[in-house]
Amino acid sequence: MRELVLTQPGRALEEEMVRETERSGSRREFEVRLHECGPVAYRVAQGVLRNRADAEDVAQEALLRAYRKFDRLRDPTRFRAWLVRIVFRLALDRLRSRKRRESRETTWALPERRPAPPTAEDLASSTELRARLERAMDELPEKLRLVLLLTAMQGYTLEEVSGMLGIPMGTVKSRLFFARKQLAEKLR
Amino acid sequence: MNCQQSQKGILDALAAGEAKLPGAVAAHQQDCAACQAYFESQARLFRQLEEGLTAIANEEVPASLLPRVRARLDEKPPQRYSWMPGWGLAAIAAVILGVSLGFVLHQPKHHAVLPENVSMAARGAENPVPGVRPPRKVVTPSLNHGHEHRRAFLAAANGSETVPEVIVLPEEQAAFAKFVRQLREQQEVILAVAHAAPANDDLPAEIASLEIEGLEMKPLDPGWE
Repeated sequence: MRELVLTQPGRALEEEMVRETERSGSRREFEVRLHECGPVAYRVAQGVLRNRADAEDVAQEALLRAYRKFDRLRDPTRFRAWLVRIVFRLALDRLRSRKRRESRETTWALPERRPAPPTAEDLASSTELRARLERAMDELPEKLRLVLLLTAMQGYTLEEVSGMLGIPMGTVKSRLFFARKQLAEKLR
Repeated sequence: MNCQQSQKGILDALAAGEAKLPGAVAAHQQDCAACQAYFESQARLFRQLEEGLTAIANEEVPASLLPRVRARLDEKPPQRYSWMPGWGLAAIAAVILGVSLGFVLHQPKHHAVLPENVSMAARGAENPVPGVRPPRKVVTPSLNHGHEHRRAFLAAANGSETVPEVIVLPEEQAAFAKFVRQLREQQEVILAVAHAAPANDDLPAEIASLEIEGLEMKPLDPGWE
């Protein structure tokens, strides 16, 4: 005759179930945030990097990092600001490493393989204007650049940018003013 | 308002995104064709700038972004790169500790060879006085090695090869040189000074009871005061 042993789920198992429930709740909440803030992450990265593949990689990395530390975020309403800072920092890191790589390659490249200087027609075209604008943005201080990007994004007011970056409205306005002025001087 | 001030006002207003120019600038511009042309060219530049910024900041988001992120949510976070495992760090710490301990334990002790009244400190070694050799060997005196100590001292007095060396403070060097010169003549004195005191020297001396001829001594009555 075989003995039937009834076992109760142990305390560890209960705790594991609680953790699993919390994890799934946290994941659901994160997915809502992901839907809301994923595009911002990509656009900030693209604004800095101006390379779709790189921007997508960086946005993805930032979103995954945010997810891994999502439980530690005390105020979920600050998620967007938190994510923007992560993605901006990662994008700047990527940009710097790309520039270092390009600098090495340019140093060693043969003269005939270097890009030809722009012609008058190029300068006249809007593509060239955009390229110049992008170069000018690269030269802006980081704080000015981020404010410029966020305020240029559709759907964000100055108040929202101020809340997102945790800085006063006056600071947003002054950074925007100096950023535009510097850009205009560089493009003139 | 001159043209320079007007053009600065135009730039500031455009950079601030003001809808209208300040009154004085607008008044100057109505009468100044150059400033009017400047305003138009700058307004066009700022318009292009805004258009370019809007285009840059509102790039179309790739449709693959969110699905790719969702697909990776269950991935384990990558392990942090560590250039050395934990046991490696522990081994390095142990080696450093061992070397430090060894160094500390094998440090020569800066005690003088001579008795305490002629013990010297290390700073006098830089300018040796003629007759005083620079420090090369430091001997630590010990009560348990009194005989060795005395032998070393005698040898020093006799000028043998094992001359003990001391480190002399600059202000004590002259006196020490004189002391060394007199050493040969006063060996017994120096030996007495250098000789370690016996361990029981500090015990209380036993005093014999006082005896005077023809006088009877009685102990004081403890009850009488």
